[in-house]
Formats: sequence, structure tokens, C-alpha cells
Amino acid sequence: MVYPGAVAQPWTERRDRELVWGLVPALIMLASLTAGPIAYLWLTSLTPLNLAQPATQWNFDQPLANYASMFGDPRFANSVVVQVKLSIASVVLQLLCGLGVALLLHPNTKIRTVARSGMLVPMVLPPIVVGITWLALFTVDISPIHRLFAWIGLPFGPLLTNPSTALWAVVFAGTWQHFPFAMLMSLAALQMVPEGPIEAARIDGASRFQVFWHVRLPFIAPTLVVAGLFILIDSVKAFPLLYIMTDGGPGEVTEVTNYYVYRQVFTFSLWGYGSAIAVLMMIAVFLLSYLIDRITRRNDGAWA
Amino acid sequence: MKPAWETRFPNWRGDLFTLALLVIVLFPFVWIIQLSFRAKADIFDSAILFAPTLENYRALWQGNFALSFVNSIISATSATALAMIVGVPAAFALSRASFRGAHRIGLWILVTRMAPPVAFTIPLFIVFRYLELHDTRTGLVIIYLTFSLAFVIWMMKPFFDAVPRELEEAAAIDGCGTWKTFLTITLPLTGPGLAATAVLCFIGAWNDFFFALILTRTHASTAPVAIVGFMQYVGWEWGRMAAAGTLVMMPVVLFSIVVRKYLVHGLAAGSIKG
Amino acid sequence: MSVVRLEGVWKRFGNVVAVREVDLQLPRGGLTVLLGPSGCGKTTTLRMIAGLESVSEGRILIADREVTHLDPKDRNIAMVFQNYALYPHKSVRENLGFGLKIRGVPAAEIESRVASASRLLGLSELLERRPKQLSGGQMQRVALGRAIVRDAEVFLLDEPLSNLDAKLRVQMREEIYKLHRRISKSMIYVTHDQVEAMTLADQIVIMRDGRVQQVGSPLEIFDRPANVYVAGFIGSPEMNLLDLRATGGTLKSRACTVQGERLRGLVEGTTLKVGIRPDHVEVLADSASASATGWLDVEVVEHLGTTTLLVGPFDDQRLRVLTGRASVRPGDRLPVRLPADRLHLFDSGTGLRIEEPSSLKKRSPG
Ligand SMILES: Nc1ncnc2c1ncn2[C@@H]1O[C@H](COP(=O)(O)OP(=O)(O)OP(=O)(O)O)[C@@H](O)[C@H]1O
Ligand SMILES: [Mg+2]
Repeated sequence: MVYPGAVAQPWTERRDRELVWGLVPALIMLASLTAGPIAYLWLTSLTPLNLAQPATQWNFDQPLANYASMFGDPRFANSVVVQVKLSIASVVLQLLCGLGVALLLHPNTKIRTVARSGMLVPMVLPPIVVGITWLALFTVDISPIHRLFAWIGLPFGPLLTNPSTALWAVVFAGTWQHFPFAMLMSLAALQMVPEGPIEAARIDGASRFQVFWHVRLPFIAPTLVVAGLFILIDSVKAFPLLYIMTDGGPGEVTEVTNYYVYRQVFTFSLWGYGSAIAVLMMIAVFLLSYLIDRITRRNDGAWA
Repeated sequence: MKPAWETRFPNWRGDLFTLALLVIVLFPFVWIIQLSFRAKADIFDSAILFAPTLENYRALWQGNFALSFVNSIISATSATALAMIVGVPAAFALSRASFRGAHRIGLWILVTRMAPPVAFTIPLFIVFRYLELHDTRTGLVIIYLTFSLAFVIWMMKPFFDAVPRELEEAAAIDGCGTWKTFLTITLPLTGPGLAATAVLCFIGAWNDFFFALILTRTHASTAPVAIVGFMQYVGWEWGRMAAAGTLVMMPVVLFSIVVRKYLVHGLAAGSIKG
Repeated sequence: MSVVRLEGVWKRFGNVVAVREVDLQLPRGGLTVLLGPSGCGKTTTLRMIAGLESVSEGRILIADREVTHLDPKDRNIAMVFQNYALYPHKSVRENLGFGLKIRGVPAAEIESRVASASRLLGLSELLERRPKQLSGGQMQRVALGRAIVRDAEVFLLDEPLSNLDAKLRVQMREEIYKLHRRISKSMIYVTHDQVEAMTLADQIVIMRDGRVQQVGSPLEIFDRPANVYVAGFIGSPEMNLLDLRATGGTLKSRACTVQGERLRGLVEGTTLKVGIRPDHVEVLADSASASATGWLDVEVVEHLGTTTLLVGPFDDQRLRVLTGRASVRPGDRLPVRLPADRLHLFDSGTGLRIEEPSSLKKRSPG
């Protein structure tokens, strides 16, 4: 007997097919907004593109010239070194601050619950506002910080124009802005640590620090690794703070790779060269994302 | 015996330390707000008390800042709306689908979310020149979608994962099709997730500086870009910058307070479970 | 006429075979229980009938209509899920009426059907509540109500009582029993609890490793288990299974001999699996020990109140004996008798029941 609704295809498969329709618009958009541009970026990186000279657009005479010139470019090498310094400092400081504050805020008292929300403020602020705030706080004649240190007899000069301190001042502002992310992830992870082993360790006479080191830390370590990778990736994208606070200077001491690309392209109009560096950055980010994906999937089966 | 107040607040040491830390962390935020209410003459003054004035805000209102503010609102809202409309069903599909390749799409979305903006800006800048999308709000919305869309999918999927399959199976037996089930059963159950996602998505677009800096000039320039304009004057306009900064962060802070509860949950869900 | 029929149904998940070649006929109006240990494929079978899982091979018919590839909604079934799957954001009333509303039933009719179902289940007071505000038993009732309101051809229930505490479970079991008599709907009920199966079922389907082992009424299955597995699975305490050899019209092991008219036809020299329920083993008085089959060395004595369970070695094997209240101690040695007409005989190779010993004659041993 043939029933009107009968289709020679099980519901589960039909459902999958229907679900695909929900995915299609997003995939088309993502493809045209991300995959397309990235492909185009790669093409551009093979040309000596300069927008003022249209002929350069599809000139593939020396496809690898941009990649080759990276090796002889001391300013690029410098930007990578600055990037590595900034990234390592960001990861270490943000993880330490985030985890430290999380440990402080982990117990459920009223004040700490409120503080958990309060601490998030820097993270949601527009980076531009963070930038001008810290620019002002690092400006000698208006900053209360400078006044405070002068008052206790330890005056110091402007940090942002001093080549040996400029990068660290920016890292400091960045840590203030981003530590809540590491804090949130640590808090969430701490909440998932089972009580059993902690109590067992306490009964065994472990000190607070021993409980943390031997019980809590191993449990939250995978989360910290993922958080660290996220911070690392975000540090590769650093831009607004640098733009506002130092503009890559003094000299080139705060010019990270991202900033260098921006300069090359939008100041010097070296589109081809900038694209080539951006392609390398994409590859680095892809590798890091892949790492995150592997770790999170091993931990809980979800893709990050 | 311990005094009564000490039994009531057994953690007072930690609480006190928490408060002190909170004050220190929030100090820059509060300081920049108070700066915006200082008259030009008071800015370099170290006195804590001062006569508050709205002169900085008034100056902003008379300048071009209002237009930039409106631009920010329109482009961030439109980008959020579009990203939600397209991204939420996609997240659901990814969460439920058993087809192959779903995981690879997930990785792609993660990469998109992580990619340095400059990588998209270079090609899109060139394309926008041909399409005459430079310095338009449409252009901004399009470029915001490069990260909003991936963000919405990435953020919503765990919320959908958490909805029990049996509810949808019960609905299927009750007579709902795939997408009707989604609308009547699954979506209402992810309300908090939707709210958190929309808010964070809005904040992401609202906070953007890089794209707007490069792709807009005057007509479509957003509030963050307008602030930078104040840095070009001789003798920087600290008061105006602080006032503009306060205005720009105000919606973000208000939003975060309103959805505070879901925000923490949402951020944690988004970052850990991913 | 059967209301649900499965013909050679298979289900594979990749390399895992969850259901193998299942043929079933479920009678209209009856309550059929799918019973078996965890992972034997009960849920998978039920979900295939519901249409939530695709069928790898074979056909499913509901009310003589092939539904193998139909959507769940077009199969005219209702399902009660193990975790109830009540819509958390809808009130009890909306939960009950949702299936009808989706199908475009007029509001007035929904109203009256919801009202009568909730009266039947004692839910009338709770209609405006959300699932979160209900107790486990009440949620269970709403889940049942959702099926009743739909008035579907078949009700499918997957371990509906497993989330309730022991006391409530017994109570809800009775309610489901009464409900079934009252509305006389065809029901398929999945459980791994044999007491639930025995008390509720008109027909029990015993499954193991994705295969159907036996289909029959509870007493049929209890009295005539089709194979060694079913014999051991049904009944508590478990049936004794002894290895005995047919010798000269008796069943023997080293030091015990079972005699009986019934055993005459057994082929000389075959070893059989011999089953006997613990309460069928007779404990003899010392004076009658001459007629004993063998001796039980009591190791464990469990006083269960009305009855006493004795466990211990019985001629190299273990025997469980259920007697009335007895003052036996561990270490006692008791004469016991295994009555021949109470024995279940199984082929020790295939494990299948041997219906009449005479049938063995035709087969050669080994
Ligand atoms: N979606 C699936 N993917 C892979 N294997 C599955 C899937 N669903 C079930 N299985 C496997 O099929 C077999 C039967 O599972 P099923 O859920 O039907 O068992 P069950 O009899 O209901 O057990 P329980 O009493 O534990 O509920 C199991 O081995 C199970 O691991
Ligand atoms: Mg099951």
C-alpha cells in the first residue's frame, strides 16, 4: 500500500538534508566573506600590487618575490621579535593575573560574586577607550599614577616615549584589558573541579598551596592551555592599543607584525608585500586554531 | 569566642582584599569618566574635588561626533541582526547534523574567528573600491559579518548542544518538521544563550576600531574612529576625548550590566565548551 | 490482527550491529514488553518503530501499512521518553495539547481532549504549571497524558519508570496497568526490570545482543523458557542450571541421580543442561533421605522472611534452594530431591529447550 507521504528515504536522512538548508546561507556568506578574500589575499601576495599603478594588479612575473624579500628585511625581522616579546609577555601575565584573581574570587561570598561581574568591565570596554585611558594615565602632566609616585619620592618619566619601556607599558595596559578572559575560563574550570579529591587532600593534611598545586592545577591545566592559546592568537591581532599609545614607536620598538603589515599596506601602499606577510600570519593562526581544536576535542568532544 | 561580625563574615580578609583589588582594577575606568566632567582648566589639577561641567559633552554634540555615534549604532545593530538571522540556524544545523564534514566546518569557523583582521581588510579594501562601498555603512556591516557570523555560530552551538535531543524527537512525533521544531521548541529554550550571543556580537562590532579606521573616512566613520580625531589637535583635547570615550563605552557597560548573569555564562560557554 | 509487525529488521551503527534480524508481531490492544539486559537493542528497536532511527534492513508495518520510511509524525504513534521530554517552556496544558495543535485540531476539541485526559490521570489541578514545578510522578503522568491526548494507534514507552524512586515505581506500575486496561491501547513497553515485565505484559519479547530470544506471555516464558539464556534471565532467584548426563533412563552426575518416567527417552550418554527453579527443589527429611537425588552442603543461608534461600555445593556444582522458613545453618548437609517433572531440559550445545525427550532419540549425540 502506498501512502501519500511515503518517500523512500528515512526521516533521519531527510532531517539531515533539511538541516543543511540552515547551513547553506551561512556557508555562502562565510565563503564569500572569508574564504574568497583569503584566496584573493594569496593571489595579491604573488604580485607587486600598488593601487596607484593598476598594471601591477595581475602581474605574476615574480610570484615569490614578496616572500623572498621578507628574509632580507630587517624591519620585518624586528617586527617578529617584537611580536614574540609581546605575545609571550601577554600570555604569561594574563594567565597569571587571570588565574590569581580567579582563585581569589572562587569562593562564593556575596562580595566576590559581585566582584566577578565588576572585574569583567575592562574586557568589554572598547579597545579604543582602553587606549586613550592608558595613554592619559601614562601622560606625566595629568596622570594620577605619576603624581602618586612623585609624591612618595619615586618619580619616573614618560614610559611610552622611552624605547626601553614603551612595549612593557603597552603590555601592561593590554593585561589590564584582557586578564578577565583568563579569569573567566579559570573560574569556570575551578568550578568543575570535583570536591572529593580536594577534601581528601585536606584530610591528608595538605596545605592550601599543596591542594592548589597537586589537585586543582592538574584539573584546570587543560583549560589554561586553551586560554593561553586564545591569548596568543589575540596578541597576534594587537592593534588599537599600539595605534593609540605608541603608533609603533618610538622608532620601531612596538611595531609588531600586524602593525607592520598595516604600515606597509596603508602607509607605503606596498599591497603585495603586506599581503605576503598577512598570508604567513594566516598560516600561523590556522596552526594555532588547529591546536586548540585538537585539545578541546580531546577534552570534551566539542569543537572550540 | 570570635566577635559576632567575624562569624557573620568568616571570609572577611579575602573579601576585603577582593574589594581593594576591585577598586584598583576599576580605577582607570572611573578615572576616565570623571575626567570627562572636568573643565579644561581642571584637567591638569590634582584636586580630587572639582566643579563638574558638561562642557566637553556640549562640545561633542556641536561637532561631528553625533553622526559618528549614530553610524556606530546603525552598523553594529545591523551586523548583529544579520549575523544572528543567518548564524543561529547554522549553529543549530551544525549541532544536530550527523553529516560528514560538520567538524571541518567547525574548524573553519574557529579559524575565521581567530584570523587577523588585516588579512581580510587587504582584499576587501580592493573589492570595496570597485563596488563603491568605501566609507558606507553597508560596507561596514559587510565587513563586520566576517567576524560576527563566525562568532554567532561558534557561540550558539554549545547552547544547542545542551538542549536534549528527546525534546526534538517528541516534537517530531507530535508532528513538527525540522525547522518548525527549531522555532517552537529549541529556540525558546536557548533564550539566555541568544541574548548573551547577541549582546556580545553587538559589543564586538561596536568596539571595532581597525575596520572602521581603514574603510571609513567621514560619512560612515564610527565613534571610536571619531575619538582618534581629537588626538590630531595641538594640545590634545583630553576632556573631549574622555567624554567621547565615556559615551562610546556607555552602551557596552550598560548592556553588560543588564545581561550580566548570562554574560558570564555565555562567555564561559563560548570559551570553554566552544 | 497484529498492530505492529517487524519483518527481518536489522540496525547497524557503523560496525556495531544493534538489532539483528528481528521478526515480531504485536497484537492489537495488547501490552508488549521488550525485555533484556542493557545494550541488547531494546531502545533501538523502539526508536525504529517510532521512526526516530532509520532501519538498515527489513520492513516495519503499523496497522498493516508499511511505515519503514515514513516520518515519525505520519506513523500514528505516541512516545513516552525515559526522561519524559516535556517541553520545559510550556505549561502542562500546552504540553498535552501541542501534538493536536500542530495537527490543526480545533481549539475546542483540544480543550476537551486535554480535559478528559487530565481527569483520567489526575492532572486537572496542575494544568497551568510548568514541568519544572512538577514532581517526578506528575511529570510521568503528563508524559503519559501527552500520548493519551493524541489517541495514537500505538504507544511506545521507553523505560518510563526508571527515573522514579522504588516506591513510586510500584505505584506508577499499577497505574499504567490500570490505564492500559481502561483505554485498551496497543502499547510497547521497554524495560530491563523483569518484575515490571511480568506484571504488566500481555506479551514479553526477550532480547539479547540484538536478537529476539523468545516471545510469549509472562507465564509461558516463565514455565517454558525457550533456551538456557531465557531460563537464567527470567525468575528470581535465578534458575539452577546443572550439567547432567543421560544414563539408563536417568540423569546422573558423579553422586546424584534424577529418576523419572519422563527421562526414559533420553539418548544414552548425552550431556544436558538441566534447569530447575530454586523453589522446585525439595528438601527432604532425614528419614526420607533414601529417595534423595543428592546432598546439598549449605554454605549460605539467606532468610528472606517468608522463605529461606540456601546456597551451596551440590555434587561439584552449585545449587540454590528456596524453602519455607527453616532453621538451617551453614555447614548443614541436607538431602534434596529434584522432581523430574519440574526439570527444564536444554541441549548443552545449542542451549535450546528440548521439548520432548523422545525427540532426542532421532538425533545422534554429539
Ligand atoms: N547512536 C548510536 N551509535 C552507535 N551505537 C549505538 C547508538 N545507539 C545505540 N547504539 C548501540 O546499540 C546497542 C543497543 O543499544 P540500545 O540503546 O538499543 O540498548 P538498550 O537495550 O536500550 O539498553 P539500555 O537498557 O541500556 O537502555 C548498544 O550496543 C549501543 O551501544
Ligand atoms: Mg535503552
